[in-house]
Amino acid sequence: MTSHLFPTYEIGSLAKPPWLRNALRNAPHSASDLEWVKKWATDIKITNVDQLVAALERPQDADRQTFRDWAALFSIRFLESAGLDYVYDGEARRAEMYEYPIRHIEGFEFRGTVRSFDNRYYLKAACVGPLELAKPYHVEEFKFVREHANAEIKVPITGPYTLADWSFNEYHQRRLESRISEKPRLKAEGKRELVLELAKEVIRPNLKALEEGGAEWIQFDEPAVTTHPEEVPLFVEAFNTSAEGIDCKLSVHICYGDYSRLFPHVSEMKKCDHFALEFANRDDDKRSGYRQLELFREYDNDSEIGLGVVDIHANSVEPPELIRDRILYASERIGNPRRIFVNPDCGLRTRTWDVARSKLVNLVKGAELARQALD
Amino acid sequence: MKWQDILRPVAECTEGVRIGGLVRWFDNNTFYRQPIINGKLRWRRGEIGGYVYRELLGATTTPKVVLPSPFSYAELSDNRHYQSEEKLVEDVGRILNECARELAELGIKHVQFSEPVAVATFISNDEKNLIHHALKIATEALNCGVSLHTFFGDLSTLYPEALDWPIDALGADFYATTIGSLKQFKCSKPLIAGCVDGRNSLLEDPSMIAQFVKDLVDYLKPSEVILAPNCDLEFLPRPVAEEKMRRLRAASSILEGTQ
Repeated sequence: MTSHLFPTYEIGSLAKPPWLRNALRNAPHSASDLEWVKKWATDIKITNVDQLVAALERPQDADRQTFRDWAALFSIRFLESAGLDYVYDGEARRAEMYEYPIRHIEGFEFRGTVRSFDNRYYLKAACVGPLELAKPYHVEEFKFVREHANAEIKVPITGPYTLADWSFNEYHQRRLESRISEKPRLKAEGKRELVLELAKEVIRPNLKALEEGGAEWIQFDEPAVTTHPEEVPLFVEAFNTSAEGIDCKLSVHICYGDYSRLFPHVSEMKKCDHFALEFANRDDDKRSGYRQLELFREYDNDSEIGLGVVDIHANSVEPPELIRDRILYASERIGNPRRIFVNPDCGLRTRTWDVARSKLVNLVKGAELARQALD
Repeated sequence: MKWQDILRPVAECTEGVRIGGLVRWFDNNTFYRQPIINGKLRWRRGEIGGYVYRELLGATTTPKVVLPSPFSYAELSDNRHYQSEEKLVEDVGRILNECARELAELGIKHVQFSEPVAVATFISNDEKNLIHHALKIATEALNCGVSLHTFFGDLSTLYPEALDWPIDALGADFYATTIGSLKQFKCSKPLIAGCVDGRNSLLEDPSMIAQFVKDLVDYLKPSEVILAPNCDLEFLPRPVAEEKMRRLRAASSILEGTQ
């Protein structure tokens, strides 16, 4: 693991390379697809790109896996070329953080699309039976990253609480309705069963397989936690259940909510070494966005903090000096700079690669400025 | 109405409001665009009709629209203009009154005000009084039926006070409210029983819905029960939502058969 102060990493997702969608549908590439490939191959030093261009010319003759491998390789090099200490593949093989894992779990069925916002929709599944993991679903992508990455690796995996919270729950509620008549309790008990089943039967075997495959750091993505503050104890129980028998470094990423509601419960997550949190989105020139770090000083003296220093919803690029100031402020607030890691607020999938690149390059520069300030 | 979220049609027909960024819709994985109130609110007459499917008005005997309650609209907005919550809620009540009256002129027979904030979050007694006050403003000289539906939270926090508010029917989300928490007081108004779950795809058995409604009648003795989903149906895929409505209708038939 990296030994210098303020190690840097990305949370997980990047925008998919624009040529990937067409290629996976055997559709012809556009001129801008090829321009994209050539520009980024040059910028991030990917060789043999002619092989990808040839495959894009005749997508129907190429294996879909070939395109996914290239997308993963571009993402790995993109993150490494920004100078990050820890990388992954930008989740290039995952449709998105919910649908991808659900497709690999027996016991779920997709029910259709529901509104996300405006007139945008997402696919939502229901738990319809006992869950079974046919095969761990992150091992192959991890092996590819390990084979190709020069930097160290952190594997992001969608956590059990979020998978349950974003799903319908038919099986557990139906199972319980003969003995629980009050609907609020029926929903709550059904959810509890689903969350813990996911933790034990799906996430734990995935963690085990990744660990056996050589993963040294696995990050749970749990964005749903702060939307139900009353269920933080359930999230904690699910994390602990998932982590049973796992010895590699584990962390949790939580974003967009009131972190005070996590305490004191998260102090019970004995195997969680690191909390990656969003702060830049709520910051101002008085550093008010970072005040909730006090909670980690008060309740938790050990875990590392993944400090969100760039806002992933804005195209404006934070200057390195601002990032440095945020890091130094957080170090002082926490009282131990060794606990601080540096990252964006969340995955950068909603930003273009140009914007994401500028943000990550400045993030790395800001961390270096902060190191120099403490020298 | 042709909305993207429940606040949008009203926001887009009001001066003093601009449409802001995405904000999570309570504890759902669904987001709305937050109205930003940056000036005195004034209703722009003549625009809300564009949101109404007029061809459907004649297809049903009681066309209904769903509007946010004055309190929920105010609380879910980003207020950058009004100095007090009271003044803001009062003015929202006024624009919603103009909106509802214009819709009634277009042929709408029933307006449902949706009130999630008052039950999903903790509110003070002063705020409960403010909801009552704003509903009086919003329903003044309104020539159609009016209901208030609460969801995502426990109606017992507003019960029985809400029975005194100027509404023809009161709604409860029975996936967040227990009959037991209400049974101390007889329901003196028609009760909108949110008894199928708009946030889960599990299809309710009509006979179980009917049994639930019978229990409701036994304990709360409402003058009338209106069967409904507990909340909007946008959290369900459309075929699932349609099947739930068919089952609601089947439950109603079972109950009619036993009367």
